[in-house]
Amino acid sequence: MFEKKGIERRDFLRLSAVMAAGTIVAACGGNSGNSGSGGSSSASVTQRGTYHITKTDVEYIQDIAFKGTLKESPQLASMVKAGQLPPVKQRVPSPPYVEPMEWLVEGKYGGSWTWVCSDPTDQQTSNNLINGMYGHSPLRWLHDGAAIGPFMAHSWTWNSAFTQLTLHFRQGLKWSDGHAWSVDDIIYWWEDEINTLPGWVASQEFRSSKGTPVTMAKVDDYTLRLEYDAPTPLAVDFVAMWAKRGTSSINTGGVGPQMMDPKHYLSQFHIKYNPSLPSTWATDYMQKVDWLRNPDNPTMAAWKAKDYKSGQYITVERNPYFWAIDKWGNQLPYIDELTNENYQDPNSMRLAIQQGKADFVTGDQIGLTLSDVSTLSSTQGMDLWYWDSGSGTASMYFFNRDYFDENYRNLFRNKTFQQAMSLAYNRDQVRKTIYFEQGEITTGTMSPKAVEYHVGQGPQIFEQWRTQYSKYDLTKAGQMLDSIGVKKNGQWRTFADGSPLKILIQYASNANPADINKCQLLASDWQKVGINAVDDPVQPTSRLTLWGQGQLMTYCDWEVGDGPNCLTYVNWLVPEDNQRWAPMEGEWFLLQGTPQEGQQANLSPWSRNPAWLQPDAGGPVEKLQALLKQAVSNTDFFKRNSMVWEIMKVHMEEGPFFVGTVANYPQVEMAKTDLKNVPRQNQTWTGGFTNPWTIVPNGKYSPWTWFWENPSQHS
Amino acid sequence: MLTYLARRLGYMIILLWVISIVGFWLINLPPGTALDIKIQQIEAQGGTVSTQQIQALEQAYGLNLPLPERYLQWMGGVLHGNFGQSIVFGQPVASLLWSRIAFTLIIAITGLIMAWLVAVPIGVYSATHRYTMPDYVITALQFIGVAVPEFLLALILLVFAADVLGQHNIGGLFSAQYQNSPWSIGKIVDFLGHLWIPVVVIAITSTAWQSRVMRANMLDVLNYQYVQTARAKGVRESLVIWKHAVRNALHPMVMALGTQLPLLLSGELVVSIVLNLPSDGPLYYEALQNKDMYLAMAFLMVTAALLVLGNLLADLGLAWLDPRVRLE
Repeated sequence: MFEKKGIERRDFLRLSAVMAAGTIVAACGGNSGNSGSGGSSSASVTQRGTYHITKTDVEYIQDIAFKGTLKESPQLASMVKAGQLPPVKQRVPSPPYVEPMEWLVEGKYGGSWTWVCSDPTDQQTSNNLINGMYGHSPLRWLHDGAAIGPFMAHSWTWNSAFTQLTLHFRQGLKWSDGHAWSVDDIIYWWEDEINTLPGWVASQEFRSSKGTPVTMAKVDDYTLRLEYDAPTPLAVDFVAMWAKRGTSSINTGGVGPQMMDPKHYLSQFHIKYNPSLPSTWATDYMQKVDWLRNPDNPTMAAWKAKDYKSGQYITVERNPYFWAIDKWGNQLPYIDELTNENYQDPNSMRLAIQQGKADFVTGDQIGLTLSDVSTLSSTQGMDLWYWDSGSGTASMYFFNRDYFDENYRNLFRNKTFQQAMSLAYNRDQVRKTIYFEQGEITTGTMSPKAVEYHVGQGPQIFEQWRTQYSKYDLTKAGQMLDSIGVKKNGQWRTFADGSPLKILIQYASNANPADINKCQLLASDWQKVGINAVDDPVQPTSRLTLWGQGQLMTYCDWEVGDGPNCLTYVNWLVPEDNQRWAPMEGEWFLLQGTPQEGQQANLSPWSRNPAWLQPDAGGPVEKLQALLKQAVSNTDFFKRNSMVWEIMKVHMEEGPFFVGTVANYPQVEMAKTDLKNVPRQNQTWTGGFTNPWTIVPNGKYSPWTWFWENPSQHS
Repeated sequence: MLTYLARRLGYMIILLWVISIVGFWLINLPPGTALDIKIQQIEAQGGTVSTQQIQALEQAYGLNLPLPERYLQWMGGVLHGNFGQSIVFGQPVASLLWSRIAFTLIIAITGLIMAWLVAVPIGVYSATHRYTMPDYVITALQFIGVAVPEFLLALILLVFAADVLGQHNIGGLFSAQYQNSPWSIGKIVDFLGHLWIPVVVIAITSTAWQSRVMRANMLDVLNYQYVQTARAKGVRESLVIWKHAVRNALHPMVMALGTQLPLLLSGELVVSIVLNLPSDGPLYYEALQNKDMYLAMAFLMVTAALLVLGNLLADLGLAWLDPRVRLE
């Protein structure tokens, strides 16, 4: 019965239900629908746009010179006239940062705007703004991650050995309170906050290719030298990554590591500079450091904190000292004030959007999906369009290679089993039911927009990996399972020794409906090939611990959304943490060179704390980790790429280790029709690239250049 | 009386201490912590948290300590007025609680007063006009009021306010233009324009229940001999009802009021989530769901304290209402 090939009633109902919605989704895509390629077609999305990769490296964009007259908002001009503010020339640095976006037109000052989100824990309220403001990064990603350009720093230089990276910052940069910015603010963060505040440690972005934390040397107030103990050619990418100033107690907070804090303000709350502080000073400090909830803490971003109400909203207002201008000489931002409203319930948020309460909606950030398009497309006064997610795969699954049970572990490490299970997965149904026939069917790869796929052998490797085990073939899957002794014994297949085999499809009990739906489809597909697969929602609070200890079997509600450079975010390719498909072998990699290396070796790997497991000699994990070590220190872009391709070949030959569904599905975006300078899909370099937070969602399109056609109607 | 009060307060302290131990143990019983949730969110967004960071954070929040030690550390803080730090929100628990308490109490108390003001007369009318057409209509409405889920009623009223009344800034407690502004006549009007929906939702459900209880109590009391005696003595009917019968019929309602005190803090959860109200209910829900133990424990202790205090107040209120009750 479970091998029946005809369409089932439930499937029929699902497909019927999505057809109407799918039509609307496709219609809303307009002429920008490059993401609608069929499952068997070539990767059309990956071919769009022009990647700025030169023969030697990723392109580095030069600073744009400005020689005209600076202009400012009328609001600030009146303050200057009243003597409350220095003239604009003294407020912006020399040289100022000139926005390079091709789609920009000269705007109008004034008005306010509202963003929305839904997050009962209040994290998203600040994360949206941090990513949207992106104002603390020395360098920035441009062209959807295909290029790196100047930002707070106007240029940078390497020594010949790629062990010293010197950043040259703009002279005259100022914090939003008017106090001068200097590289001391970066060194303060590095020396006085890192390793002192709870959870603030040097992240991988600020370590050498050997893993040693960088040394920061002040050359002068505006020149900083980063010194590494080994060639670290990816350091420029790391310096450009993330928004560079979070607010969370975990320093990263989902928006990446910090890189500066205002020493002149925060040092008064630091025990080193104020020994009279109580022993609980760090707790108080964590409140002061939150620059979106503490208006006294200045910022370098386009807007500064104005008001915050827990669980409700954060309002930010124009920073008069913001250091960016457009090519017409207008000091940015154009819009005076920005509020991010938080709705406790996602449906209340959707209702608010329908009522026109939001001026800009970024679906990828706030959990809107293609299923919302039919409802939201009729919202009056708003445009709806798509940006590419750039996802290597949407909701996927992977087995725990380090599962505690030996029988299961051996099975999960068996490539024939992995391949058979991938072939038994009807991705076409997932694509129709959940992604409304958008995106492209995939075995599961890194992002199609990753730079490594766009040079040399890259396109062929991508295509081979993408299609390798993506075709739905129950017969072949069954034969492959038979070949490894996983044969039917009654209704279900068993292990080769005849013991029962049951696969738990595990996902967080609070996973989003699309993930849960996909998991149910996966269980149903595997049952058709005779695998006893059942849904098993797991408690979110215990999942991290249990997964890292090899106690959970599968992970079925995650996606590969990272890029644009495989080596700057390599976790999916190479086990180097305890969260992904080989958690305990990743932990082993993490512990190398630390005091904990080799500790508790006499215990069972599943009894160790932390749980680590040495990769098998000659096995795929050992190969991958060795290749990674070579790649990250190689200073030649094309040789580095070759090593990345080698890593991918291990996945193709020994995997798949993570198994995907649909890649590069479109994300829903909306804006009021009279909000200008918001790029549509055909204006961006590659059709958009929303999912990796490393290249800063929204911030990479400079929202401080956006403006109202009629500001007086939005005050 | 004073001896009675002192004894009850003593019991309260012992009871709260026991609740704190059991609550702390239960909240910590499942594996994992709120940190795990936070780290998963970060990982899902593309961030990484190293083992080193996790260990440092566990140390900062005391999560690496054995449970009894963790409890003693937390209790030591509570006795000094420090409820600890919320792991999920990254803010002091006390400031999170107090930042929402005013709106929580306004919404809950207004709803409660509305419910009582409507439920008591309706219950009395319904009981004194038993099996008449108005009684049938009231009974039908009461059943509808009890049966309709709060979230549905809230959504219906949202749509009604938007489409029929043309009130476009629904949800929350203020329109965008008043959110940051100081209090003014305009802001108060705007606040009332938003407040009516949650109050009506809370009041309708509550009124339906309370009026059913009041009706049943009245029917009981109206059969008592002292009521018949009053009538036989020629006392005016309205006096019989409102002075003699209602007073006794209120007993169970007053007792129930004691148990409703904790609901002032957390009872309007569903309405608050649907209507996006900045109250404490959703915060409590999130704390429990995310195992944000210090925040959850703070809520648990405050609601437990309100419950025992509510019962004490109910006992005192009953003694005041009914001279026959003696507290010893």
